Amino acid sequence: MINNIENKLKSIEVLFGETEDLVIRRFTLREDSHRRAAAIYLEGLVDTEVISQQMVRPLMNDTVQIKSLESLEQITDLITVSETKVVKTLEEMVALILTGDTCIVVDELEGGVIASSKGWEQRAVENPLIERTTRGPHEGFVESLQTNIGLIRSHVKHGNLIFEKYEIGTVSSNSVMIGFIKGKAKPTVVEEVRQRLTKIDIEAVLESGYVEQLIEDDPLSVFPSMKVTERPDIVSGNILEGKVCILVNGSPFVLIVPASINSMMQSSDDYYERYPQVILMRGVRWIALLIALLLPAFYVAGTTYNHEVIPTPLLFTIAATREGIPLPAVLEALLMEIAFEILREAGIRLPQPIGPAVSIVGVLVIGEAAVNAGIISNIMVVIVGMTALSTFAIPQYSFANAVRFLRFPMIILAGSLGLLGIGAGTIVLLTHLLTMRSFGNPMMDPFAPLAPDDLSDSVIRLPWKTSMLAPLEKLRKMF
Amino acid sequence: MKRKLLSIVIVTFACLFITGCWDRHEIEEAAWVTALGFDFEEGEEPFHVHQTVALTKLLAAGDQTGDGEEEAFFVISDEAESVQKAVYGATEFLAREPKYGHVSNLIVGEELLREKGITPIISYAVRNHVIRPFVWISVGSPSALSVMDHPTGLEDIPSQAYLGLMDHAEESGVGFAVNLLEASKRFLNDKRDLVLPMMIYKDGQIHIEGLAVFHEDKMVDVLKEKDGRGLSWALERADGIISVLSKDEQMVTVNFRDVNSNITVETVEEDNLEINLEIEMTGDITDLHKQNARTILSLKKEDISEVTKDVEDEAKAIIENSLTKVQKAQSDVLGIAEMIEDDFPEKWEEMKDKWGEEYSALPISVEVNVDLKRSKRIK
Repeated sequence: MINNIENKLKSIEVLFGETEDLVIRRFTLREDSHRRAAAIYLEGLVDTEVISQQMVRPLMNDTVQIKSLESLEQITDLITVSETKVVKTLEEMVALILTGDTCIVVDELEGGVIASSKGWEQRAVENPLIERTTRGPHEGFVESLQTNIGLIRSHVKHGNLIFEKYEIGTVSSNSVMIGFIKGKAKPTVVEEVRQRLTKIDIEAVLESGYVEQLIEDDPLSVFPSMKVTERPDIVSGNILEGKVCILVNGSPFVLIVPASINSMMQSSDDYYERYPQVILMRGVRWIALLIALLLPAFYVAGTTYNHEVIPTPLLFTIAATREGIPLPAVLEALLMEIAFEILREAGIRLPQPIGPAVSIVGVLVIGEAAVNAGIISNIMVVIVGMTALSTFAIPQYSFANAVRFLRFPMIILAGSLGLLGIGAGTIVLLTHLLTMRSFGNPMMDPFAPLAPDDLSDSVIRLPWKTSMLAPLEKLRKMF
Repeated sequence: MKRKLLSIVIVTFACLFITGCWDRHEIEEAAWVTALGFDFEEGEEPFHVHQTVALTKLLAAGDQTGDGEEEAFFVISDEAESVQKAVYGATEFLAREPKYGHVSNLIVGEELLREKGITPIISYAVRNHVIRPFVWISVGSPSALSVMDHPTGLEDIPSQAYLGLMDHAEESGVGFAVNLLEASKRFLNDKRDLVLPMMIYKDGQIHIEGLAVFHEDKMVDVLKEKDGRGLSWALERADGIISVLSKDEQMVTVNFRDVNSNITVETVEEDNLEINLEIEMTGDITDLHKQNARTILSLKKEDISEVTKDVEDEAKAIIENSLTKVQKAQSDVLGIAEMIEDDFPEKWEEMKDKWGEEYSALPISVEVNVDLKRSKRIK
């Protein structure tokens, strides 16, 4: 290695491609021989206050008497930042400068000192945006890996909570961490996660969605095989249950494996509220799942093929509202569902200030006008509205998206084969779900294979065991 | 593989867009027939079939466009040599294809039943795979059309009113509803005769008038009011209400809530057969009334046995009376022939040739037990 400082700085600059945000701060060491030194960092990734006050200043300060600096280790004794490290190669220096550290090089000394100076602009811990609950902590993950780990640690106070780090990305590497409790998490699952993460071959990982799609069991399936959350309490609960979480730097969404359909229908406030409400909430949610998937299909089948399944008064009501509608029920249903999807998609993209106004135009004006014009029937508006609301009752957004997608093939099946088509579609879906695995765990757990013990936390949630035992103990004492 | 997938996709889409693919039929493109009526006509085309078609466009909830006076149904009629042909004739009148999946009532005219019998109707209805076995079947008097041609008070579509009447028939107690399944079972059974409720149109309303009893496949008599009630009790098919003059000239009204009957055939005095009918009736005293009384009357606990006795006597008289009528009409609605064949096969061999007369002559003993203990208005 070249020990001349100017040569060294030159080669670093070449490695960085002479980028403008690379800052090289040259200064003279306060020692007898007055050697030259330099601090190298990337502007924007560092806290410049830390560099000037805790690194450069101690080395230049004339109140400290330094005779001669023999090695870089002596420099680490002088600077006052929390973390320092001596590295020898240029490549190591570059990699660490890229993560926001500062490198101090000294003339005539081999290698450099890496001092931690990370300090870029960060979002504060805020209410989760996507996952709302009525009860529970109001904190959501942020983009910083360290903050996120801190949030999990603050919930799970367990010595065996382990985080393992993986650097993924051949061009731009990013930190991916897995967290689990040693001794609680299934070793096979942990090993499987490790294996799959090391096998990833991709240029860059920008969000946990990349990792999710690269390590999932069945990439062609419409159903997600991982739970995604931005709530630390959900991750903590799952880690305590023996699951493994995967965090990606730069993404507030954490992956939890293994998942099941049942776990995707659970929300964190299910565990914070009392059990009777929870039974109602969960029941409603499962009903909403069926409505979201099948209601438009059943409507199409009922009005197009299987008229006899509709009770007579309802049949007349439907017939009356459909009187004069030019489109067949299946096209009407498809059109309305597509219209709603457009509305939903537009709602996400709309600039915040005009969002509400456009939603109102979309829902009220277009809907009302279409009904009045006799293009679509009232009842179809009710059905599409019900279906749309129902998809939002599913707590796991990625699972709700799968259901939203499956609604269309279901409508087409109902429109071509009636109830028979719905039956066939349901059989195919169930068969697929039954064969699907999430890191070795069946997706339909605990329903198939049946795990009676776990059923108490599925469609219903029974009271916590401790509280269930209390009245029993009382009874036992009485007799 | 690719071609296979492509063909599946094409077939699916073709099914979507080709009208008339398989059974595809939009709900609003059909004429919904809600009731079928059958009448008799002298001449070459004896079957006169009426169909009540719902005018669905007038049925929209909250629809303020109509003036409210329009009827939401219309009746079309056609005559033919066979029932099926007369039903089929409706297609000539209707711009939309008639659908029979929501037929809820079959109404057969009294004249048809007395002249031709019920055979052609049952045979048509049972053969038709769209008409459900659970549609109600009843007799329209004097003709099916006389019942079907009128709007009813509460419902827009008359067949919904008939449905309601049939659903409540057992509570009101004058008769009971019979569905196609039961009717065809009774019809196909040689040793049990058919009984159907009879509907009439009177004073602007449709109501159940009584029970029409059959001998073999022909209607022979009608049991109205008390007689209908008596037969319903004997068959355990109604609760009903009764008023008797009892203790201190008070008019006592009892609403029955549970009726259990047990019919057996037993031998009495040297091999003579007798029909034995035991009925347990449970009810509540719901009204007390006395001429010129100016106070709210009440009964004492001790009086209950006397009242019960009077109620039992009255019920017994009603039942005996109605059973005598049934016997006189030679209508074996209770299934006595079946019981004799099962329990006394030798006797049956002797009787079966002239069963009609033998049946009319059989003595009947009726025993009624009434329980009014739960009545709250005693004291």
